[in-house]
Amino acid sequence: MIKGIIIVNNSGKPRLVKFYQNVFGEERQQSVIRRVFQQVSTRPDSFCNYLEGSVPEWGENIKLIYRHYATLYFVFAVDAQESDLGILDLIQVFVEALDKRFANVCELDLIFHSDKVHYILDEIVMGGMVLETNINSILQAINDQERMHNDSMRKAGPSDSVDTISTKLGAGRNW
Amino acid sequence: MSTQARGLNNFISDLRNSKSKQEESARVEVELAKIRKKFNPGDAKLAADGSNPSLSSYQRKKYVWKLVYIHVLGYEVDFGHAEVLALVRSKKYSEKMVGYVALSLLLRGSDPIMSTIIDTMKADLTTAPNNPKRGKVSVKNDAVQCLALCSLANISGLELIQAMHVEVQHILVSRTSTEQVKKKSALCLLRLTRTSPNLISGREFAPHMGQLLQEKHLGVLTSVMSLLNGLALQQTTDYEVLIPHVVHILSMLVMKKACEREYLYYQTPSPWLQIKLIKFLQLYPNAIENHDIGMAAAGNEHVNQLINVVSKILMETDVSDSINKSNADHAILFEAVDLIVAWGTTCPIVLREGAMKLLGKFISVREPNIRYLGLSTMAKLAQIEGSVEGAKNHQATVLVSLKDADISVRRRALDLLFVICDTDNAERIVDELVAHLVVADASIREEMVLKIAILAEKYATDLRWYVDTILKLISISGDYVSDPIWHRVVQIVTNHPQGDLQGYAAATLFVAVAPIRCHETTVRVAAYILGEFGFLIAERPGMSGDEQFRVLHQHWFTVDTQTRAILISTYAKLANLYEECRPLVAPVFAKSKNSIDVEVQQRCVEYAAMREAFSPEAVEDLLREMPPFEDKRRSALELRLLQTEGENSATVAKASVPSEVEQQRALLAAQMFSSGPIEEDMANGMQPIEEQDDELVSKPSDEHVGEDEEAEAREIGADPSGDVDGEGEGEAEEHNTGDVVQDQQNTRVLVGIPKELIPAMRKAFSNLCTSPSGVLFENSMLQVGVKHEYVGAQGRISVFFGNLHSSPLQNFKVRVDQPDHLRMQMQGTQDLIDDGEYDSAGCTVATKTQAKLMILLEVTAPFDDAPSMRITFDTEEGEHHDYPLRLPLVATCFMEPVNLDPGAFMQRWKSLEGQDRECQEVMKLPPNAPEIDEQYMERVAKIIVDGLKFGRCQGVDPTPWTVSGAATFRTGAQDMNGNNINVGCLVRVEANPRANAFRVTTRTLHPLCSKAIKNVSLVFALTPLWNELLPSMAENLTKGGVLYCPLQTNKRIVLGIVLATYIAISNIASLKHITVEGEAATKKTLLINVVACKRSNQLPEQWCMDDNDTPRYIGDADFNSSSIAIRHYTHQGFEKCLAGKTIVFIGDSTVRYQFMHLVGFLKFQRFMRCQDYNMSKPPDDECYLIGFKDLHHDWTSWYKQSTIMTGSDGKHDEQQHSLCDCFRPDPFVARLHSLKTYEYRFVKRRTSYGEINIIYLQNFKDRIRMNQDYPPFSSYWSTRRCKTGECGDSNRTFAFDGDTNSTFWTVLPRLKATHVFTNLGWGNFYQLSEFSCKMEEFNAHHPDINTYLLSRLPSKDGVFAPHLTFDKNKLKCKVNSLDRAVINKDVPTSWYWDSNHALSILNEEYNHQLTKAICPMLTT
Repeated sequence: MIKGIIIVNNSGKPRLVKFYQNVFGEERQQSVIRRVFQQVSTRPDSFCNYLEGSVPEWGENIKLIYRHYATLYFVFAVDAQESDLGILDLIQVFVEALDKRFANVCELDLIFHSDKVHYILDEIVMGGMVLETNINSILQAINDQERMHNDSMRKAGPSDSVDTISTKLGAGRNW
Repeated sequence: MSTQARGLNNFISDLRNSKSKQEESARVEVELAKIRKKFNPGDAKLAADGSNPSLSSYQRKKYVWKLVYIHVLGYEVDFGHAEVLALVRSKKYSEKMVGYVALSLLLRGSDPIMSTIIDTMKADLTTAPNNPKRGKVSVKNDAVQCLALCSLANISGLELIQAMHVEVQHILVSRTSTEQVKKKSALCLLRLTRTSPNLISGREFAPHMGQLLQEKHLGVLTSVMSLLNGLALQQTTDYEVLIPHVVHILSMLVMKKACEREYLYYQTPSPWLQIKLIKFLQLYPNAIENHDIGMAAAGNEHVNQLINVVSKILMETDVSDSINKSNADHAILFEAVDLIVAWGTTCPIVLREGAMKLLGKFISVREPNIRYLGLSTMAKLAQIEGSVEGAKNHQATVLVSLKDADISVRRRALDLLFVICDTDNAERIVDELVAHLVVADASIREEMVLKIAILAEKYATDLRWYVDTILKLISISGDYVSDPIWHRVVQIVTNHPQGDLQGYAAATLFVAVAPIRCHETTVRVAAYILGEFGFLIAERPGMSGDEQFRVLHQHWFTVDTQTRAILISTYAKLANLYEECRPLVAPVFAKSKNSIDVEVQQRCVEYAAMREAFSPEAVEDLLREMPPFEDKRRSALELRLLQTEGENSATVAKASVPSEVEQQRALLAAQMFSSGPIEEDMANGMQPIEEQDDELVSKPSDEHVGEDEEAEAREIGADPSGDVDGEGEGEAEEHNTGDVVQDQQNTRVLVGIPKELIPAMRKAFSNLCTSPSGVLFENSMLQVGVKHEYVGAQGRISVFFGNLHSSPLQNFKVRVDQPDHLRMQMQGTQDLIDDGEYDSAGCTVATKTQAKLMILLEVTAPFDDAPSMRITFDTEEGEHHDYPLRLPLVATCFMEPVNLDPGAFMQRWKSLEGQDRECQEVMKLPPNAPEIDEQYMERVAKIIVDGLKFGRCQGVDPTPWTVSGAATFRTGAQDMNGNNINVGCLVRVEANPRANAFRVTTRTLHPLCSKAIKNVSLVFALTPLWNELLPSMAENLTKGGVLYCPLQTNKRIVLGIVLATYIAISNIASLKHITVEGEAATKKTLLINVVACKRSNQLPEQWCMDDNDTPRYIGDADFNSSSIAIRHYTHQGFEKCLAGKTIVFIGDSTVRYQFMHLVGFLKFQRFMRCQDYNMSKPPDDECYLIGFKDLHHDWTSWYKQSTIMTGSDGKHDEQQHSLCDCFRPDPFVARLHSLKTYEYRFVKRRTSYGEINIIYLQNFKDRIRMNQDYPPFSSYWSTRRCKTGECGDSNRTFAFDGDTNSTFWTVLPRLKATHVFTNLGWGNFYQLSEFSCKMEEFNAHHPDINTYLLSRLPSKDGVFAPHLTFDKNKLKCKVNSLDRAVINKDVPTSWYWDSNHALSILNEEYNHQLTKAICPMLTT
């Protein structure tokens, strides 16, 4: 199963943290994040995407499977039950889903729309298990949710939707 | 549209603007206080559930999200649970949604407050069954069910499970549940059963699962398969009936590709489902037993179907261009191979072989993921009986991966090697591993040592090899050799009395422990083994009981108490056996009786009291050798492996199966004796003891000085072996252990080297260390002459053995020790050489004739020990002579002086500043020594140059009172890239005539610094007797460390110490390129421009305005006056500086722009101006600062123009030619996952000073690919390539593909680069810092290539800034760097082109900095 998912940026700031097992308490979670970051950030992109267990909070025999996109590391901690390449694909699905949802996703989307990122993740992984891998049906579920969310908001009174953040940075439009 | 509230966005923005962690946490505290107050204002009445009813829905959601955000940032959130629950209870979907997400993030299942929410969750789970006719509402109920399921799965508290698992099961199997709900309920149920196993009875539930497998929706199927895998893992047999179902689905996907479009992932039908199906099948290893095609009983056709499916996956998986497509296909493929592994021997052989062949292909690909998985899967496959042979074919490939830069890959390679190791290839593999251990980094060493130890034990056909291997492990990597490993050596030696293992081990350990410097673990093993089996070698020359005591005891003061405890037991045994040891041992016991360490004290007291308390027979019995150890089923080493790798590891499985050799050994051992429970005893005796014996540890030096000269003589050159006669003989009689040969020889007189000869021998040895030929040894019978010469790392030594006796010398044999650090080839008079292989009779040297021995050798590593040579012969008079000598082969033989110019020397010297790279000793001359004068200093210089073969660097010594020198120690060892490893040394001696003292400093730089220091040492002494002492100093070169120099008074005085080694002085060769621009003051104006510059308030610190009103950077210059002069190279200065050099830029766009400006400056002799950018607005001629707003062109078009601009236009500039290998997808879009541009620019520029080559290699993401039709893989002038500006993706073949580090090693030397400026593209400071060490290593091997790290620019928007800051002092390793960030400090935003790129004015200044780094300017 997937023990946890961490998205952390190039300077070690966590952007999404989800623990499915074993790690309770902010302090321990932060120490896991630090440890994970220290390990993945020192690996050039030319290395393989696997790193074998050195996060004691998750126990022995845990593998970190990660991908590095521009400014963000997507790190999944999994046990031996998961397919190594399957998880890589899953990360890709997750990123593609984010990319579709946010139209060229970048780090700022993850910061200012952390709620949505959580909703999307919940449609892909549930309780540490892969729930859905079909991007269309993931986005469909998200859209349904949003529609209902908006419906219920409308009933609630004045809309509290706010401006979208248009500023986008990434490793650069310009390079 | 954002679902997030504005207040939350503001809060997030605030946090992001925080300048420090403190500021951030202060902001968080304020927010938390505010939210706390909102939730519980104090005056308002709270609702029954503890929430504040006066909060609006919007507020409640907003505050809860803030809490979630704060939690993710890592701050403790310990309130607000009531509000979260209120949201969950809400009827509104938008509130419920937030509530459930917050619930699963902020609360845990065991929280007591959870019980209050059970009813709400239950109600949400069981909302009215969906009725399609009810339209919209049902969708909502659906969604609410989903939320509850998801939350339940994420939390999974025990209480929740008990309350709700029935509902979840019900939802799952209900026909009315929608697909979305089914998916989630399946996973939710899985999660529940994981937390609370056996929640569901397999027998009852299996039919339901069968029903669910009929589901057509692939999403639901995937979830159901997850559940099934989870359940089957718990109750495997109950679900076996479902195999046909699963095979059917798999076969539909694989054979028929029956899959809805949207479940095709890069054309592969739902890979996740396929993986899960195969994973399920892996649980049933017996599923295809008796599968013989055609024999399958009716109803078992799924077995054939399954085999077909697996063959199809295996045979027809294509390699795809799309990384994602091939990932997905390979994921399935690897799963299928795992299935084959699970089937083991029941699997058709053709499948197994096919899988092995495929894996063989995978482990040789470049793609690291596939290689990694290939190695790991092959290790599993090789476990199957009969498959290991297939894997062994790939041994060579695996060995290559062992040297991969990536630790994950290395680990897998190590595992695989471990698995395929057997009796046939053990020696080869173990030797490779041992060789690799030397260079392996710390993170993998422990693992390697453990595995090598296990392999050596398992497959040793000759246990002597095993003992040797472990000793090698200790000497290479002693700190990683854990106690169980050496305990095991002891056990094995003890348990195998057959052959000569015990004697061999004792002799080998005696030799290993003889140098004063050896690893503590060696001392422990030696102590134990000599204590037990020392008697077996006591008759051998130089190894008598008291010699054994002495070699062990020399370590007494440097070892810890645990080792001392072992030593004490050994001493007790030695004292018991050898009379002459008793007086030696007694004082040790007497002193240690009061040791504060309990173990040491107790042993001493007990051994001392033993003789009084017991009868002599009882004492004998107590001190007799230990009985054999009990052979446990699992050795401690295997247990350790199990601990680190887990039960499922292939290596553990391998380790636990005894090898044939082991079984044979066990059988033999069983015949020899019955076992006793001894292992425990030994372990107890060797418990680590924490308290230190302060008293003893604190005064080692006194004791050292107190040792007698004889001990010293033995340590140094010739072994006196005076003990061989007389005493040795007596011992042979005393211990009745001698074999037949011994008895026969009892009548013979043994002759060693008499003590009187030792001083002369020492002198002879010393003389030879510094002179090319001379006599090494001479007595009335034999003269040994030596001639030796050296070139670089190689040497030739001729040794002549002349018979001075009146009769022939018979059985004349010479045995030369072949240490690891020397590669030797020997030739000599027939039968002269005793290579230890068989018992050679030796030759006969007639009177007045010579036997000859020639040795060709190459040094492969730093060393500190001269190789020993043992001469044995018999005379007609019946004397047996045995002379242990040492060849005068010392580190300085391989020294080559290096001449550095002063600037270069100082640069090296400064770059090596810092504690661990420096060794310093201050030495005061004795009172009666002559005063230090200039003549004295000349002699000092002479010692350094003639004695130590250093190159004197006179320019560095401003006064006569310092002497500096440099040298290289050449070795023939090669690094990974085939370059020779050289060790260099810098030394500096400073005198203080008034204080009559010297300070000697050496500097060193080397990852294995401490080891190198241990190994090679240069000793340098300052004394009026230097002429006489030089030889003995040279002799001491072989010892390392502190030099004890005997003066006339016969007192030892520490005269000086110098240690200096570092592998490869970087840049020695290239330093000759650096010419200080001081040769002619007249030419200075030509090359250096002095510009008057005024301080201006409009400019940032460290900038001034020149006469052209252009801002200039002046660095840290003093700003006292309002106007200052800044110095820059002129255009000619640039050309002169860069001429004859090849400058390579590697990095991202910021590096490319710097490159462009350098090229532009060389060509146009001025800053790039606005018009160079082809702006539509007619720019002012002197416009240097172009703002983004002025530029109406996009980047891509400027990009093309710049390519053209740098090249030759055919009319005006014949001096410059450029090539551009570039392509960008058009239109150029930077998308997260499609980064795929590769771009290289090569510019050649001819100047009157020579040609300048400037090259840019693109490196955005630590990956560089070079087209085979471009330099360095093709000639610069070759026409086989696309035209500049017309680059496309088609028709190119990559000749190189790798990360920055491999580019360094592979491409730079081919480009003949002289200077390299690199950043890691978008890498962060961590990566730069890590990379600095790789650079350092590269520098060590390529001293002719100067490398510099370029910092990134501090980008002007806040998001990326923190990781762009650059601090060269925080780099992990010291390398040259060019800090571009510092120039930008406080510059206005308008000096930036955009958020990442600086304008020409800044680029220009970077290039001035860069040129100054390459050619330092003379400031006077």
